[in-house]
Amino acid sequence: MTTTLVVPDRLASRLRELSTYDVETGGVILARLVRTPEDNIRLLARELLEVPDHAYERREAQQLLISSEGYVPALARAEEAGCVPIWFHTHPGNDSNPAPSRHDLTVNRSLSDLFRLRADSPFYGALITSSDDGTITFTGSLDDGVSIAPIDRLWVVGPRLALYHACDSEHQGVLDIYDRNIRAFGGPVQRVLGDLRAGIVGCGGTGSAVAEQLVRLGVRDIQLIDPDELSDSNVTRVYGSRLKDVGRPKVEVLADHLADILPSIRVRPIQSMITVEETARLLLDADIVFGCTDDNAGRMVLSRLSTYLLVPVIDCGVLLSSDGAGRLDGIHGRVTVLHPGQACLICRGRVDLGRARSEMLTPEERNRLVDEGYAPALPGVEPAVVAYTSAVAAAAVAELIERLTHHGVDPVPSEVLLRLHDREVSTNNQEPLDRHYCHDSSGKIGLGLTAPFLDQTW
Amino acid sequence: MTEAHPGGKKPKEFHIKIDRVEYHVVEEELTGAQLRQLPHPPIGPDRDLFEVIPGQADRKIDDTYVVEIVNGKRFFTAPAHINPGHEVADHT
Ligand SMILES: [Zn+2]
Ligand SMILES: [Zn+2]
Repeated sequence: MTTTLVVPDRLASRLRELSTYDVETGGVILARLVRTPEDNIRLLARELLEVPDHAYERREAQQLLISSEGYVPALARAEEAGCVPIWFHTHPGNDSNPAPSRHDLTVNRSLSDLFRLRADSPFYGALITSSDDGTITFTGSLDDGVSIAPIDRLWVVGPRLALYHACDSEHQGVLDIYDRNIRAFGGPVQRVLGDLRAGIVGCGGTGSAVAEQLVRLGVRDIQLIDPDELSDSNVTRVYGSRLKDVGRPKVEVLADHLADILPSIRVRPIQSMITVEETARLLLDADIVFGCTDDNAGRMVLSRLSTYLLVPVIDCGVLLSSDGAGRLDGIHGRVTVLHPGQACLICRGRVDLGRARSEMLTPEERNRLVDEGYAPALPGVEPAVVAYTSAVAAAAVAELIERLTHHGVDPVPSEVLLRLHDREVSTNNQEPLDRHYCHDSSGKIGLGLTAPFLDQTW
Repeated sequence: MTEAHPGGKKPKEFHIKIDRVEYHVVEEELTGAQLRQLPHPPIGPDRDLFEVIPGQADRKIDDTYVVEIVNGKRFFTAPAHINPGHEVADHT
């Protein structure tokens, strides 16, 4: 079992800043708890309630003395918000050690019962951060009153991504085969890639190319989701597919291929649709999800997933148009990165709501409604070409690298539009629409598990 | 039991909770100091006493503060001071 504390970048920046102060800082982080299908825990950080100035009776580089008014008010708030309260403090100064001191362990023992009781939370959390040259180092624990487990990972989600391991945890080594990557972006990013859990929704031309690149890049844990069987016209685009695989589930063809490249990786093929609640819930274990599906209903699920569960989603699409006489006249690619603070796919108009509704109907219902003029007809077989699906897949994977390495322009654009027919690339950022679920004011960002799941009908 | 209460009026009994434990009291008002005496051993000076006020912030109850007792009231105690530290700095 691993426990990951997922922190929106704004909150992470504050933690980082507080860790560089000359004196210690305390506070309570409120986080929604999500148990994943693989029995891991994700704590989705919602807010940090810092100890108010008047509650510090002593505040020095090596210690704090805080009155009860400094942390008790946060507990009622935790109860109200259905959150686990995490007692947080810093060990300031560059290069200082975030391991708990003897004092800290005493504090944890004295707070555990109270925090769980007053916040009506099954857990008491504790987090200590330090700063190491601008990055966060930390230790953390989660205590259910019986046993204490570590907080293993801190996953910072936003325009830039960062994965930190608890400084008392063991690092897995990096294989020599990634030497060329390391020469490009260094060992730490390579380690992060090796520790990421990725989900890929849609395993056609784009999804299979994303999967292959992720494996070659060093990602070792990949979940593949696609309902379809391979058809002969898929073989022209789907990586790893051969004519003799026609009729097999796409996810299995791809999973076999990935395991052939690197047998040590863990690939989980799931032959299902993301619009099935059980399947969507499997993505609770993912740190990052690539949206490589063509269906609008699926995109709506991914869009909500990124808001409610703080899972960054890199959604991509390819659209080819011809002039009707078999000549390509438009080659459009789109890569949109969804994370807290950016507009979702609906706010961006990237989802056709009418089509999404149609996709959720049974074929009989759909045909009837289309005949009656109440539903749009779903498109037939669309043109697709391996060069363009691969180009867009590469652009999507490049977004992941860019966000982990933190190179490139600032602010980071959240969408890349490729107009390959004109050999042009453009980028944009877009604010969420007022009152939409993806907007900060909705209170849905990092809300975690809701009933119904993702606040939508399944 | 009625003979102990002239007029046959049974005194009201209130059920209140401090931390996880339920206490039965008959007083309609109690001071912070009196509330501290309910648990065994009594709540020491190293812990602060708070009252849960639904919909509002918890109220810290000083020794002289008079609390109106109603059924179902909840109180909890919290360490009066916490002292997390980097290293052990000895302030004796
Ligand atoms: Zn939106
Ligand atoms: Zn400490």
